[in-house]
Amino acid sequence: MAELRKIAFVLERFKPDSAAQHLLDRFLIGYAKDGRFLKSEDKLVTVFIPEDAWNADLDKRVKDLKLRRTNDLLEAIEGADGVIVIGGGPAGRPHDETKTEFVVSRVPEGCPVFIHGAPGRTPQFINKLNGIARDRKTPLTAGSVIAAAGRLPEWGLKPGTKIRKAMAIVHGDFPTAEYHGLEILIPFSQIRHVDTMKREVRGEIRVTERRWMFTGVASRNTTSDVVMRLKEDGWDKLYAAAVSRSDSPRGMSVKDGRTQDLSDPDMFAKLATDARLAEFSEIDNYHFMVVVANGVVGDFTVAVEEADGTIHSTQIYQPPAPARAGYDRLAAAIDQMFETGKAPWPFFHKYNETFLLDIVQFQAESQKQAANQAAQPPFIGPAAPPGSPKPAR
Amino acid sequence: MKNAPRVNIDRNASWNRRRFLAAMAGTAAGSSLSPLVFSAASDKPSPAPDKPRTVAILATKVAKYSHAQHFIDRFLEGYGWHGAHHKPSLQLASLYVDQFPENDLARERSKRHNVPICPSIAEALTLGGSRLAVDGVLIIAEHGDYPKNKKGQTLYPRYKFFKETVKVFEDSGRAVPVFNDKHLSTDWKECVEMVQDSRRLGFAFLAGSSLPVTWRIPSVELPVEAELEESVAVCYGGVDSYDFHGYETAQCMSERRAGGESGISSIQALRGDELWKRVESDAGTKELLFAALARSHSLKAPEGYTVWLPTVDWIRECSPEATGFFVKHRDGFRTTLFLLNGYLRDFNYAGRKKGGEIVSCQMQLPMPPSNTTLADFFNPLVNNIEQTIMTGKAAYPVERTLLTSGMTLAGVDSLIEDGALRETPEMNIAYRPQNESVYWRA
Repeated sequence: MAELRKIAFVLERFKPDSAAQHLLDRFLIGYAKDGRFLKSEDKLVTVFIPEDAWNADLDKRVKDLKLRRTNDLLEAIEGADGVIVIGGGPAGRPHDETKTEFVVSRVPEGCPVFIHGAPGRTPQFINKLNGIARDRKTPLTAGSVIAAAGRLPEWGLKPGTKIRKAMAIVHGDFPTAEYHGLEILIPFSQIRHVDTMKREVRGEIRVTERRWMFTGVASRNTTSDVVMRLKEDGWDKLYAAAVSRSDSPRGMSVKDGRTQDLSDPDMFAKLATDARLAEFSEIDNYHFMVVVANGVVGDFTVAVEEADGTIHSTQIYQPPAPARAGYDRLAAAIDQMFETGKAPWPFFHKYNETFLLDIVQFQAESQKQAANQAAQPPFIGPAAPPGSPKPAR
Repeated sequence: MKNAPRVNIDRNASWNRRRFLAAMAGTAAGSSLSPLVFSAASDKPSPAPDKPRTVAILATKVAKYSHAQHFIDRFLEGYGWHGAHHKPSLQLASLYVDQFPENDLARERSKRHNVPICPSIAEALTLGGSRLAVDGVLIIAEHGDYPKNKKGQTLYPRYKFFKETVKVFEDSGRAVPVFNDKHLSTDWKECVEMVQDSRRLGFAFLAGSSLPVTWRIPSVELPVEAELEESVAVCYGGVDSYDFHGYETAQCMSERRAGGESGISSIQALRGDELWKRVESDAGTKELLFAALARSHSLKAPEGYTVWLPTVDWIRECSPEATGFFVKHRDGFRTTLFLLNGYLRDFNYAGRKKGGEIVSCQMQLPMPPSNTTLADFFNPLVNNIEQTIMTGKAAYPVERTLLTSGMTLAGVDSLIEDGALRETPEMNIAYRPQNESVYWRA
């Protein structure tokens, strides 16, 4: 296990209640994990941020917590034992790709890199980044606080579970809400591996390549279209299961009637202010859906239907501001990655998220001309990188 | 106390008028304040009845985010439960509401759902007839404009509502399950009398806070007969108010220790230097305090920060009025409750098992409107009320709430006596919990 010495933060901005603040402070100060506090006394934390983004809050950390400032990106990451790259916008907004590529290309070989949020604009860039990291033996992953969140109730599906459908109900602006929805749902794709390429080797069938094949993506961007879809093909069952986990329905209890009962999509229609829906299909007839329910709920929930019809649901729990203790879990996941060199979740997830978001964005723009038009299948994801079974030789 | 004989109360028995009258004849013996040694409710529910049952809710006031609103709306509209929207099979048949402030919601709910608001408790329970006509009663006497006593305790009319309910039971020759929200009364004798009335008339009596049944983060079940040595709860809120929630947070774990609950022998409430001297002198309690704090999601940080590791100095700075209640149980077990107003805003537990292992969790109580709009910790509480009314058996022992009511009262006494040790020989409440904690976990 590596001795931790230097953690480098590569930031674009630093402001209160941002991911940059929450993560930087946890690496400077410490955080709670498994019922005890972990101090960060053994860490030397360095920050690189554009000069015009430097502010008094960072000065305070230099003074109070011995944060080290550098104006040279290469100097910041030189000799680092772990690097965290955080963009200036919401988690779903891509970073400065040039800077991200520079970091992954120039960190010491084997130095883990964590990128907060969406690591790039296009799947091609993600693939390129992945290739660089692989060549340089750099553990790499990305994600937001949602990827590391706890669940109410706690449950997980065993790898290999046959899943028919999944739905995440989220809220927020495009593309961050959709990004969070995919962060919640993509791991379920991993649970039910689709092995697309197999080869017989010495009498055994072995997986030679693992790919996710998306056969359809469809977006809906009006409340009436969203509600219509929620009522079709059994999605209402998943919707009811997911929304039953919400603790933050919107609306006025007197005006709307008590909003505890949102399980009827018609109540959804009554409350929604800006509803969107993105639906995805995979090659083995697995379907999943991100429902952006602005005006309806203020939290994140998910429901998953197994092949036998069993439905599981949970809330993706986000502890409240100002502490936003969910960042304790994200910091712990990153810290563990820096210690062990093992990413908490595959970077491959980020490829699929970006890949699908790219299509949804394209559709959103296209729909100005042709509403609800599905993109043409198939869309083939890349081969799974480290973490998946090795191809047979 | 560990070897004291336990009296088995048959909570599952069916009732007829003859048996009811026989029970009433035993009032004198039942109402003594001699040691109360009860057994826990059976874990197995009886078969559900084939017709919808009805409940009456007796409330002090019904306004947005008042306790009564949370209960009433769950019975009228349903609530999320185990991944579905659950509509209770119990029908809300009547309301009695004591106060109607400008922001009253009772009348709107009454009109929209065609539920009568009755002018008296007796009429709410008899639905205007001469005999008890509902299958369960909820007493939600929290919030409202009520006087305070010399100790500063708000005199919510829980005991009064309860006694009027019991009177209807007696007049009708029939009793049904009762739920009392929060602690029983501000008078210990009244608390005991309420429990003894339930025993005398043989009805299931459920009471207390949402804390024992809400989500636990992480989901920690302590097995019965756990080798637990000490409990600490850390929370916030007012005395004679959220302190009760804190005691329930600790007690739903402490009661599962080897030998079960034995009752408490003393309580001492400390503030300021005395409190922190006590903490510094007891490494075990201090360790549990910090273990519980590590489960909090709301620790205050200095200006400009959102995270800061706790130290005693920092806690003192954030919470100058911090209060510690040091409870000694009759078998030597210790419970400490810290009210750290200004430092955190959630409820956290830590307990040490034999050998030093610490179990800890947050018992989640997000407050509306900032952290929730539903306050869904009421969901498991309402569900346990449903179970109690449907089966005729309390989902968990009311003795827990009798004891935590006593802790609340004795803690207030110690506080107003400047931290004097308050001996509590009258609180020798021994009981055993049910095998499975019924907190929300699915």
